Amino acid sequence: MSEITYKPGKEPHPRETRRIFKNIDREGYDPSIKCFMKDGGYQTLKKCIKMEPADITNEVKKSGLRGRGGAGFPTGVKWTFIPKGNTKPVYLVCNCDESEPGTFKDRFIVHQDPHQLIEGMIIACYAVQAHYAVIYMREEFPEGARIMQKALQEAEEKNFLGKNILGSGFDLKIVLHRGAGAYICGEETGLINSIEGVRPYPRIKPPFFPAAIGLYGCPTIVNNVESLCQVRQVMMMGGEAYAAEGAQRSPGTRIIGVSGDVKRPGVYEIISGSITYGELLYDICGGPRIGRKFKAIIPGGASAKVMRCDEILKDRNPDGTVREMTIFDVPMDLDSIAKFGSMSGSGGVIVMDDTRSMPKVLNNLNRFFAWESCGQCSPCREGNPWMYKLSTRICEGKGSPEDVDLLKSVADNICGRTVCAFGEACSWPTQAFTTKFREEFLALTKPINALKPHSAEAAEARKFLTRED
Amino acid sequence: MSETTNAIDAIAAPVSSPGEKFFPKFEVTPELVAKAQELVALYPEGKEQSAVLPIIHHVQEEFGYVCPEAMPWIAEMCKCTAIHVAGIVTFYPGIHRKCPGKFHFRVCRTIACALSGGEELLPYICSKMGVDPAEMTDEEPMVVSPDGLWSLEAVECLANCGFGPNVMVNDTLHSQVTRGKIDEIMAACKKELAAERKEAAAAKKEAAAARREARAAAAADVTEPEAEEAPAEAPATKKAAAKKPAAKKTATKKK
Amino acid sequence: MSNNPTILPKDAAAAEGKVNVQINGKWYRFPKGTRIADACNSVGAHVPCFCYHPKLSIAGSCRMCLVEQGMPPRLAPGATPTYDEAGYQPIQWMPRAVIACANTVAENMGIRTEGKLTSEARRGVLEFLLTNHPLDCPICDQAGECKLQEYTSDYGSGTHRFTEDKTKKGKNISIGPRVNLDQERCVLCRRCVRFMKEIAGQDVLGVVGRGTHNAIACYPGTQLDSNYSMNVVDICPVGAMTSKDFRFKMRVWFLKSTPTIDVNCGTGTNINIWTRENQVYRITPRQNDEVNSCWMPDSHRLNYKYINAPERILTPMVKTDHGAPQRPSTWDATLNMVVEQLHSCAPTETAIICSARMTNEELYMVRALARQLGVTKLEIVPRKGENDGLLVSDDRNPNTNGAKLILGKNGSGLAAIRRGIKNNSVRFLIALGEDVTEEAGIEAEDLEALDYILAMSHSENATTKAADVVLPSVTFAEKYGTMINVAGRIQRLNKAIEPQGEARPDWDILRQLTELLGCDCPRVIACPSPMIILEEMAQEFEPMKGLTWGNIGNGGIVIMDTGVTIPLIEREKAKK
Repeated sequence: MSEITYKPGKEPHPRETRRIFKNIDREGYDPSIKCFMKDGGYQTLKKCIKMEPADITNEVKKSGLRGRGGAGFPTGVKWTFIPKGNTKPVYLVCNCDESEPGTFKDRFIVHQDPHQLIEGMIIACYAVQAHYAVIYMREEFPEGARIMQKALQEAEEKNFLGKNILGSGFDLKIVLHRGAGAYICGEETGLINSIEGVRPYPRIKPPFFPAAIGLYGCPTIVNNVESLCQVRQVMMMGGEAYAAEGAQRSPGTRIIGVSGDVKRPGVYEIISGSITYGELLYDICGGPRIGRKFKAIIPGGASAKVMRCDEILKDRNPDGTVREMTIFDVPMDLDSIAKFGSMSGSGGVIVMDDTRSMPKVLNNLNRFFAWESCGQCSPCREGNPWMYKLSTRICEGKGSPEDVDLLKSVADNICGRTVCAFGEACSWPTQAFTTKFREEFLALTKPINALKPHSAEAAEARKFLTRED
Repeated sequence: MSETTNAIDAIAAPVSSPGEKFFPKFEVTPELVAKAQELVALYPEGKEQSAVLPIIHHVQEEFGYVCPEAMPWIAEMCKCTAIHVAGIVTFYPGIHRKCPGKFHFRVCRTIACALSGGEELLPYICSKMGVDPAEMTDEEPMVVSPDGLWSLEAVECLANCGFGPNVMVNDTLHSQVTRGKIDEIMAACKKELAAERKEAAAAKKEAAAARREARAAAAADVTEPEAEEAPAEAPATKKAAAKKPAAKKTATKKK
Repeated sequence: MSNNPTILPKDAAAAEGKVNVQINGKWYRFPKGTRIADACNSVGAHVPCFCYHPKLSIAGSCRMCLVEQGMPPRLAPGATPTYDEAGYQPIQWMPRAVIACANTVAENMGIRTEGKLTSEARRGVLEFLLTNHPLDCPICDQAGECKLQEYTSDYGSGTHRFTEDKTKKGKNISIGPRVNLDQERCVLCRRCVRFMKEIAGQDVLGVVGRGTHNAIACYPGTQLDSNYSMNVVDICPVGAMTSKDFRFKMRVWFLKSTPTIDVNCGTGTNINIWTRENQVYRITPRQNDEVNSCWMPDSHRLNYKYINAPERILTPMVKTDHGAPQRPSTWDATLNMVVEQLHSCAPTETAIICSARMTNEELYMVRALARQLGVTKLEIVPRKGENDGLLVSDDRNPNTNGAKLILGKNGSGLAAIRRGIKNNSVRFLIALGEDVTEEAGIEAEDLEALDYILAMSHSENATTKAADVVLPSVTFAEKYGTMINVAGRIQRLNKAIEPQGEARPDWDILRQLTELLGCDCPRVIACPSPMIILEEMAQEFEPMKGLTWGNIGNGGIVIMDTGVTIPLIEREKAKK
């Protein structure tokens, strides 16, 4: 067990700490239960199933584990939100609808090490006393779905699932439910609606906090894949030991996905807060491609606000003095980046170098959000296509300087007025890009464009108003 | 939406696609109903509607896409109304209302893949497939080649952002795809098709032989009425048809 | 102050099951569980809503009702709350607006419906809703009562900044036999979807597409054909759902609405009649949570065409010779003639068939007429149908309970009259407001055989055609009166238009006739209006005791226990 070898070229970076990703790209490892159990799999479950459920919850609370889906809500605290004296069935849903662009960690867990997720889930289900759980997997993982289905079957054969698990009297059924390619299903209430077989519109909160009124109107805990794997880690290590490691307010390891213009993009598991963005991008990822310079970083999935690499960030030291730093000096935990107006979210870092046109990057993001808007609430439904049309027009050189302000203003009108956090988050890239890279946007505009028609109807109407020129 | 169909009729208007010849035509068989009931049984009692997506997935796997006739049937299986099924079918981009080609290419064009050149692959794949890139719009991002062999869809994030550009062919993900790799993939697809055709021809031969034998047996047994022959024949052909997508699945899995 | 010895407002409110809420700086008290939107609207702080409808589940999706909200600051452990002189805690305002439809009031909550945060949110949401809206108000039926139009004028910015191509969707689609859909005008509030599912119980509408292409639709081959389909037109805040019947007929601002009740069944659905220049253009339901909630069946709603139809009888018609055709006459001449004719009819050989479609006041006058003539063969025509489990009662007469109370009749004596006509023991028939060949079951040849028929009716029918004298009366839209519904509720009919032609209100015809026949009872002949008749009745009939036109009000009063309930209302109450 001590000697783990990885596939050639897939070796972890020395600064990584592989826990969740211990078996990813490991030589001789396959997703079967045999492999997993040989490596100590399901031992934690055997230990946990003899504990009091409340003790597991307490242990997770003690660990300070925070959700890895993006919002960073403390997992153990979430579990305690199930109403006291609840008589309805409790459900647990694993959010495996990894759909935030730039995030690609769940893919590896599902495809290469599904049993650690299942074990984590069983432990979590036991802790909240859920007898029915759903893995909501995105449609784009058809292979993953087959692997997971097989893994569930294997676990059931070994009585880790099903009736009277390991003689404990605890029953659990886990159902694999596949999505169908909608970003909004990553929103926990949208996901619940998707499982219920209705259009996956996010629900209004209040009153529909899943822990109180979730799947089928019953208390439901929705946890991210990585979070559930971390639950297993917590129970393996003990809450206190887990809490002692990494950033104080977000302990444990974090899986960071790096994509874009770096030499070695990929997924890396690091101790939370142990390295900075600079160390990640230069040391682990090898820095920018030859002859290039980093220009901008989206630090936590596509909806996180973009950071300029040459921006001077001002932070306050504990003694009150002001410390100047750049994005490269910010530690990689859940909270540090939030001080500078962005978020660490789901751990997807997207990097852009000096060859990139920022309006074009924004336009790509806007297309994504316009395409993925579920259309339930007015600001997101109408605002996103508008932003996309505006940014497209600016990129095509048909925008006027006022359009840049309009673009920002449309984003401001969406922000804070939507049903769900996703609807709101879609306005953040526009807000950040148009503010931080305003000069790039303006460079593409021409004042004369303000006088030109922008729609087919306006062009048609213009024919009657002006002479042919 | 054509001029003659209104927006409502368009929900269940058949969209013809050359890809259809590679998939069996939607038909409610006892096996299909049994599978649907099995999927419904996965969910708590009285929550039949939860099975809408799983049944849609199954239909899509078997028949390539969700045709208009399938929607009321799915509604019936899930004890909801057809408009709800239509609401779901039209919502998810992963559900096809038009039959894709035998080999369905999904090219990611979201930020990370776009940064690594995903969008530039689209025109190349189009030219290789013989489809018009102009047909791909934001509203209808899927195009099928005239021979029905290929289809191309521009999709959003496939969740493999570090290794773009990503292209999914049927169920298999290919990462760090280049033009050269596209050529390789397409060549492999063609090879797979040829092998499958050979297999199908052999199966057909076998079935014909079996039929001949049965007919001979029937002729020998004069007491057996001739009308019995037809239904006896049907399951055999159906099985052959059902084999096709299954064969596809295993073939792609191997890679 | 915190050590104020007097009772704090929060405790005072809690004792009544209420909470204190500050709205735009003033404190109010509301029952616990009141929605913020309802609370604000009730005190005149208007909250605009598209998707919120008090009778439907909460969608919370239009985001129009965003308001600024605040609560007392969360206390540090061990800290005690502070109170101002009036005994309220300070309010900490939240940086973002909340929706007023889904959230309920809480103790010491603060709401601002005016101010920068709210007005900017409203302006922003309206701008979004208008981006893909076709802005075709000049040809839209909803113009004038369109929420999008009203809110844009109240809270909108006045200019628009959207200059791109709009999303194209379906227009002018027939979505059912009585309703048309325009998907581009739609703001996707889903009120119609929720209504059809939750109230009408016919889950035919849904949303298809996604994002900006979202649109309301029904599945091809199915239709919005429920008998309650037109309610979606009423609740549609914009011109997406329009009534085929009312389409392009009249601008709503030209119409006058009169609150009255429906007379197509015993439920007595509360309605508004929309009229212009003595013509009825449409009928819409009027909210009454004890009778019809906010809804009405299409069958009842559309049954108004007869009011302005050519079949209306506009003058008295008389036949001077038994075989001759009817000819128009004047009221004075006709009434005098009728009096003479009735004097020669033997009371024992005369029958009166009147109607449970008549108002209480008319039935009172029927009784006076019968007494004056000494006729004892008097009956109403019962009308039974199927109860639809929602609003349509199995009793298709609107005032069966009135007839029971005033005449003591329920239709059981009708067979005897029918027999009498057959065996010639009844030779004279007075048909008041009924076509006796229909539900009363008197055959046409039997009518022919009668010696004399006096008919009072608003429209031509087989009975009026056979009658010797026809007195033109009016429809429910042209008169005042009261009726008692199946649940024992007395409700008012209001006059929406003037009587057509020479027609006169039924009660007036009957009163005059009775007077001319020699009645000198002041309680009959000195009644100049239905309101006075009501007061007369209030003295005579126990259940009506103390009733006046005024105290019945627009909602009616329950005056008797019938044991009958209205299914839809019961369901609504059970839901609460």
